[in-house]
This record gives sequence, structure tokens and C-alpha cells, in this order.
Amino acid sequence: MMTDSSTLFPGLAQPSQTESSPPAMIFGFWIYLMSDAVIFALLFATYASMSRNYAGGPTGKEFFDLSTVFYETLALLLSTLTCGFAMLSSSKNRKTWVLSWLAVTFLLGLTFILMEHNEFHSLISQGMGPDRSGFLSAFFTLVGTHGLHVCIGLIWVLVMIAQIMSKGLTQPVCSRLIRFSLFWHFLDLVWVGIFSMVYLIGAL
Amino acid sequence: MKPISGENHPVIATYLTGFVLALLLTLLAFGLVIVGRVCSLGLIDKALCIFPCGEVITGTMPRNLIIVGVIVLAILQISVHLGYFLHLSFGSPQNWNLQAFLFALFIIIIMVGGTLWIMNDLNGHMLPGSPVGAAYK
Repeated sequence: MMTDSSTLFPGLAQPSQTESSPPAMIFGFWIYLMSDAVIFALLFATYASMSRNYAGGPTGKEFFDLSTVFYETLALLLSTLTCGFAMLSSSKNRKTWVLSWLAVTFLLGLTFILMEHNEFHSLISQGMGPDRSGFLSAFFTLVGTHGLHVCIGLIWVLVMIAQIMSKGLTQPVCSRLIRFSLFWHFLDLVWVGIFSMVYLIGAL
Repeated sequence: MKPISGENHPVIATYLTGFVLALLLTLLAFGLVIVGRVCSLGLIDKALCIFPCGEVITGTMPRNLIIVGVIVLAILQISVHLGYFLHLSFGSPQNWNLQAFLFALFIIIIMVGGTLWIMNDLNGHMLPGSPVGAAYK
């Protein structure tokens, strides 16, 4: 049974060897990321279909603030770099450095989320919430889903920091760290699509 | 099996190269849109007050060019992120991450392309006087 499956599907044969085989678990997480990418792609398609259904409400050109979006982009891009540094430190078994870089990653991610929260809060308080027009519904759904993913990522960083402090850089912890880094890099990739397709093109 | 992300031990240069490339592409995309808004105003002295919310783009030609430019830059930056941060490589044929990615891409192209095609076609069939149809004219 092992030989059959491992020759045909080497990637899929891994779990039967040991329960915590990191490559197979990372591949499984990669599959999840790909399905998440399909969700985001469809939210992009929905946004593109509804991007001009203003219903007499505000257009993107009227309220998109490109300087805020630029700083959000910068925060997320820097956090993806510090997340990479945390991964490099973990492969060299430097626990303090891993913790420091993860803390920086958390702070940059938090900066991003607070800026996005301010943007959403000011829009809704001005009566430009998701109920105002089809365009705003699609905008809040797409950007909000990404923001929700970042929030979950922030919780994940805190859990990783706690696990590294209590358990150290053990093999299961490092395996989780690899999956977290994939998740975090993936979120920055989705943000590239959002700032280009939604904010930059919308501001034209 | 060679494929899995994080297993091929990237070095610090990988992340730094990816970061610099991504930053350059981001700056280019933002710069392109800001330049587009300056050009649309046609006035250099108004260039400083672009960020708060500029005027309407006048010509359709530069606007379309800028949109194409922004999309190309976004695709380039997404490729940079995939290559340097997610360590997706097009090297070995036994790459399961790559195969899963290509399958997802295939699904995305069918579903997104199909959605845009059908929704645009439906809008084309709207009555010219109706508010939804008018928004597309």
C-alpha cells in the first residue's frame, strides 16, 4: 500500500509514514491557500462586476485616500519581510531572534489593521457603509475578507509567540511556523491585487 | 519529492531581493497612477494637491494605458511574491505545490473570466434608459 501510493503520488504518501510529517502537512496547507485564492479571485470578480453600481452614492475616486493605502501597503510588505527573517532565524535555531521578528511582524500587521479599521469606521460613520450601494457592498466584502484574514493571522502570530516561549523551537512548532509564514506571505500577495485593482484603478 | 515550500532553506538574500523588487513595483504602480492624475489636470502647479482627491481624467487613452500598466505591474509583483516569499519554483516537474497552484489558476481563469464575460454581456443587454444600464454607457 505504501509503495503503490508513494510511487504514484509521492506528495500524498507522506502522511501514512508519521502523523506529523512536515512536508505533507505543508502541502496540505498549500492546498488550503489555493482554495482561499479561488475565494479571493471570485470576490475580485464580484467587485469588478459591481464596481460601477454606485446607485447615486460615492465613487471610489471620491473617497479613496492613496496615501493611506500606500502606508498600509508598506506596513504589510515590511511585515512579510520580517516574517521571512523570523523563518530564517528559526532555521538557525535562534529563539530570541525568532520571537523579536515575530513581534515586529505582529506590530506591522496591527498597524495595517488599525489603518484599515479607521478607513472603514470613517466611511460607515459618513453613511458610506456596505448598505449604501452595490459598489460599496462589493468593496467592503473584498477588503473586509482580507482584513479578517489578517486579524486571524495576528491571532496566529500571538499563538506562535506563546508556543515558542513555552515549548521552544521544537519540530512541530517550527512546522507550524512554516505554515504561518506561508499564510502571511499569501495575505500580502492578495493585498497586491487589492491595492492595484481596487484602490489604484478606482482612484483614476 | 523536492517541492515543499520552506524546505529548500532560502537565504536572507532571497527575502531582501524579493522585498526590493516588490517595493519597486509598488512604487511604480502608485507613481503611474499619480502621474496619470497630474497629466489629467494638465497643470504642474496642481501636482502637489493630487493626493487629497484629484480632478477627473480627461482623455480616455491615458486612462486605459494606466489601467493596463497597473494590471501588468500587479501581475509582476504577484509573481515576485510567489517566487521569493512563497518559494514557488518552476524548476522540477515533480513539484506538487506548482501543480496545485496551476490547477487553482486554471479554476480561477475559468470562473473569473466567465463571471466578467457574462456580467458584462448582461449589462450590454440592459435598456439604455435604465439606471443600471446608464451607468455603463
